[in-house]
Amino acid sequence: MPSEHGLLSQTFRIHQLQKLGVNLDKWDYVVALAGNPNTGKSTVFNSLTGLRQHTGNWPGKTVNRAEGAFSYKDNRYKIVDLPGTYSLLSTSEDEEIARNFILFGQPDVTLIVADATRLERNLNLTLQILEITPNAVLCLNLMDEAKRKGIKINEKALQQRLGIPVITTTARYGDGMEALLYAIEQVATDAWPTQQRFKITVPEKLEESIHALESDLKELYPDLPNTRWIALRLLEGDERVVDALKNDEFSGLMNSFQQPPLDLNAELDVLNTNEASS
Amino acid sequence: MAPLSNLRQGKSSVISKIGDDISGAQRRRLLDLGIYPGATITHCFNSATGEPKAFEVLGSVIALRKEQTDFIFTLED
Repeated sequence: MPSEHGLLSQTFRIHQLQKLGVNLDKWDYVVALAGNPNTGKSTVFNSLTGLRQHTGNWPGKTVNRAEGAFSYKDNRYKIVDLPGTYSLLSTSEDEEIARNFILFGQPDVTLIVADATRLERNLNLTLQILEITPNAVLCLNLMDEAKRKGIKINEKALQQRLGIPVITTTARYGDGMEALLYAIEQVATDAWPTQQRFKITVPEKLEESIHALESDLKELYPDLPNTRWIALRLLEGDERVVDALKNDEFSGLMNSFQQPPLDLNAELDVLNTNEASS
Repeated sequence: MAPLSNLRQGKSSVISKIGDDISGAQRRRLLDLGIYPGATITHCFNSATGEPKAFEVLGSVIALRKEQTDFIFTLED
């Protein structure tokens, strides 16, 4: 019997896709992989990169995120597997890692992997992500299970309502992965029409308060992305965001994701040199 | 309206309200887990000590304590 890895590489071969594993020297676009727990995020990650989950360390925090790479057509992509969460607004550490990356890491595409058999539950996180960025793709995964349960999804209607590409997949068999890659490319290269993108409308009074706060934030941090989202959280009284503002954490967060990943080999060299000289 | 803590094991009902006693981050967390007015909730089983209790909502089973279920209300069936 072939190993899981072997099976994946066999069943999942797409013209113009090159799985680059951990080859992260340079990339054209960054893709963040977000979604509820147990939706098959890592299966999507592994089948695009050819990896069996790789974890790496990043400066600033001692947390493990998985990172990999692939190339499709003319572009190279770095893909970051974020912790699975139900929300970006509660106060667990996992959720903060996911939300900080989407907010401050500013990925070119956020790929949301959803469980097609629990669509309603999964759309909560989807809407929270769309509140931060319209540069997203919704991957309705586990379609084989959905079909078995007799669930039918009108993905065209969903796509129209959300304003982002909606792709149905069964990642463990590689089904739908080519369409998914195409959608990622469309959003990354800005070929996806932006005028259709999702916008949450709020009452005018709230809108005024958001604007006032946004301009204050922009004065304090001219490069701060997603000021609207941060303003909304401040109005909501989100303690974590209020603290981040009080303790001036935003600059640090913005910088931490601009740096290239740690070169572990270089670190090792330094370590060896130090040991040899002592 | 009846508190969710009264819902008998094996029974389902529709959530009608989250009481004002649950606020801030706690309320947010419940909403994110699928506890919101209109959602159907089923009391699946109890833990050995009776607390917490397991409920199914939106296709997933979650555990809730009495401090929470006393302030989550469902429609009478």
